[in-house]
Amino acid sequence: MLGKIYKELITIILLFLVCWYAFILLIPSTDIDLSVSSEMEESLGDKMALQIIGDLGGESNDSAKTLIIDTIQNRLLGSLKTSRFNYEFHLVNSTQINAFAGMGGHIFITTGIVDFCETPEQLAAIIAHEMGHVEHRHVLTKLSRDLGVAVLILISSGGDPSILAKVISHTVSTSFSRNHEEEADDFGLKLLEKSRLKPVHMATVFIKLKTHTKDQSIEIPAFFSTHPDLSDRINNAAKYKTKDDFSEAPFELE
Amino acid sequence: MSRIYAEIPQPEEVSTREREDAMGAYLMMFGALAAGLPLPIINLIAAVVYYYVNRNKGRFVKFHTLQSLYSQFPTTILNAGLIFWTIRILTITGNPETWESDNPFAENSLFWGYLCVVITANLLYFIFSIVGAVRARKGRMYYFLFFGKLAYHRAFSGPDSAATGHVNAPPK
Repeated sequence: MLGKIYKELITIILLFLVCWYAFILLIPSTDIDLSVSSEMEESLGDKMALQIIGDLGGESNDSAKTLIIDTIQNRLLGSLKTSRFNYEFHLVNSTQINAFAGMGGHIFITTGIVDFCETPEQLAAIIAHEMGHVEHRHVLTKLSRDLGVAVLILISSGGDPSILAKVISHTVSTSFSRNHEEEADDFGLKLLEKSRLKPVHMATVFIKLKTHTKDQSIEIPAFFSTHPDLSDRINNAAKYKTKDDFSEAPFELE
Repeated sequence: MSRIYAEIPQPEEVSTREREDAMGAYLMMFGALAAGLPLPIINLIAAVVYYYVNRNKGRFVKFHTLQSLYSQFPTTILNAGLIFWTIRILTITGNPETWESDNPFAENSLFWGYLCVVITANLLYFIFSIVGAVRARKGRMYYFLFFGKLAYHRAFSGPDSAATGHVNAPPK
């Protein structure tokens, strides 16, 4: 009798584990949407970029800042062996301390955040993080989850401009999920290392944003406000271990 | 050496009072479960109390109260796990201001899978308890997977010889 009891106990435990695993597999993932091609995403991203740049006050002609962005861009893209998209970095005229990823390889950097960063390495850390969002197609995932793939396809095929405006405001105003932020951080940290930049710059700029907010008692910078749980992410970035033979090659900018 | 089990009472040997007490073990759980929903431990305490009150009312009643009590444990533990996991997500990782866009439960398939298992386990517990209560009211034995044998082992371990050729028989 006892033998049978033990057998049935094992059966129940196995049933529990199998059911749990089966339910995990059965629950549809909300994280990835691959029904929109990279080309379609680029097309949609181009349209969104025009609208975003217009809303934020147009692209900046500041040659010094443009040089900084170009230098960082060349370094980071040089380390990125393969990419889904052709990247386009937009320096936009805005005093907001903000940088964010659009769709299809567009990254928007405000003049405010360029001024805010003390070193180009700090700015590179922010841009590397945003490239993580691009590579993981987080904007597309977020939009397709919230609005539906059908709406995205309608927009990308030249649909209603009012829908496009809604999409844009949604993209800019809402935050990514925790998982997306962590994925983007991981990508950014690895990209910084590959680009011979210390990953700790990401922690440094996060701390700077946090301190700035506290000291000034001002409205939370946009980049900060849309990135939850910064303390955890500062810790993760600070703990990131580079390879033994790693050495930094700082930007040579005056 | 095989253990000796007491003879199982046949329906005609079980009094109405015993049948009602045995049935009450299952039905009492539903009331306790409803009262204990926020704190899953309450229904377990109720089950223990019910067992100690009724354990000397014959092997038939003891078996059903034990089976009901034992089958409480997994659902109680699963329900408690679900509540603590939910609270943990809400208090440690959640930020109410960003829930609209950053739902802490989203993308947590482990949690949702667990939730489905808990719901299934509670449904099964509910169905088996109803069947158990009906059988007990008829003076019949009814064995849940694992818990039935365990309850039988505890309730009927004794010197009496096993009965044969009757409606109620030991679990196979």
